[in-house]
Amino acid sequence: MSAGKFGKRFAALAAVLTAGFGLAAAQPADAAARAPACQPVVIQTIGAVQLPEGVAVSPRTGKVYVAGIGGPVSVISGRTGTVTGTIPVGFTTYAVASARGPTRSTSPAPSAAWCG
Amino acid sequence: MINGRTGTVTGTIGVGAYPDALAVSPQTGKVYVTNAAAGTVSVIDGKTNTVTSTIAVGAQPVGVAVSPRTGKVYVANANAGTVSVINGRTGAVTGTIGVGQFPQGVAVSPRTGEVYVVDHNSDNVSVINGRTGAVTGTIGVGTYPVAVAVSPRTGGVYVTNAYDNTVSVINGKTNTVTSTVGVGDQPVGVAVSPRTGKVYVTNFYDNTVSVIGMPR
Repeated sequence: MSAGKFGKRFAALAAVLTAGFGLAAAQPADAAARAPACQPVVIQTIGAVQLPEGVAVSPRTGKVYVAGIGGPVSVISGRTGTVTGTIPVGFTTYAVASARGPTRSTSPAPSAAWCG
Repeated sequence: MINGRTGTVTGTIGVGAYPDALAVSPQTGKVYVTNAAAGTVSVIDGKTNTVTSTIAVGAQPVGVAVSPRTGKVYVANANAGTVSVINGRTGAVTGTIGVGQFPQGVAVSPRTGEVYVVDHNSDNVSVINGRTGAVTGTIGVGTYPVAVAVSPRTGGVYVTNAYDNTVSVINGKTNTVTSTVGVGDQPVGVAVSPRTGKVYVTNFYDNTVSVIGMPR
């Protein structure tokens, strides 16, 4: 066996060992990242319409519609969380709903975890 | 009606007295509107945007949800302390379920078909088996809960507690409260994005929307 061949084998073994240690080191971090997945938190607060009450999300666009007792309906971008517009409706609004529910093809596959 | 693409009001549809809540059937596109003062539900054809029928339910219907699995419509009658079950195809009331003192918000889990009904005065949530219509349990939440929504991604159930300024998070498999999240002043409405799983909560008195999600 030449030193070169041994060196290659050693390198391969070292790579496997490193990968193994890497995995072992990564596991607690992954577990830590996964653990709070069932502990949701407030990630953003958005200024909306006056006295907001009803809220609905379009399953097609992800846009969020907020109905306020104060009048207009706020439209919020689901991606950025910013109010992109208001829609004057001319009357007091309590509730909103999106006209098209998720279809079999567009609804996301539920995640395996049963958590909040 | 608002056009989702242009953001303009495309029309209005007259319904019953003091309309309070509405829900859309993902199966048929029918829109169900509760008329709180009339004790009825208006059914709107989603294609023609006309009221096609009016269904008598219990006293002060304030919450409504449609099961995406069965098309059954669940209406919370606040003053009657009941939930009316409507057959989404025929429009017939097929059952009336006693749930508590003042049922308000209602939601159906797309994962289990279970129906979650918020009782505003009892500070709990009733769980109804979507197949049998039996109340299988109650879950204690915060003070004066109002609305409920279920995440289609995780099965998590989110309940706004108006007087606690919190949202109770219920595990949809064990039906136990797993966490309580502080939000804004008097949370009332709640909705979950089926695309992202983000939860949007309207805070009535501070004019804000709290977005609840998983920590990064």
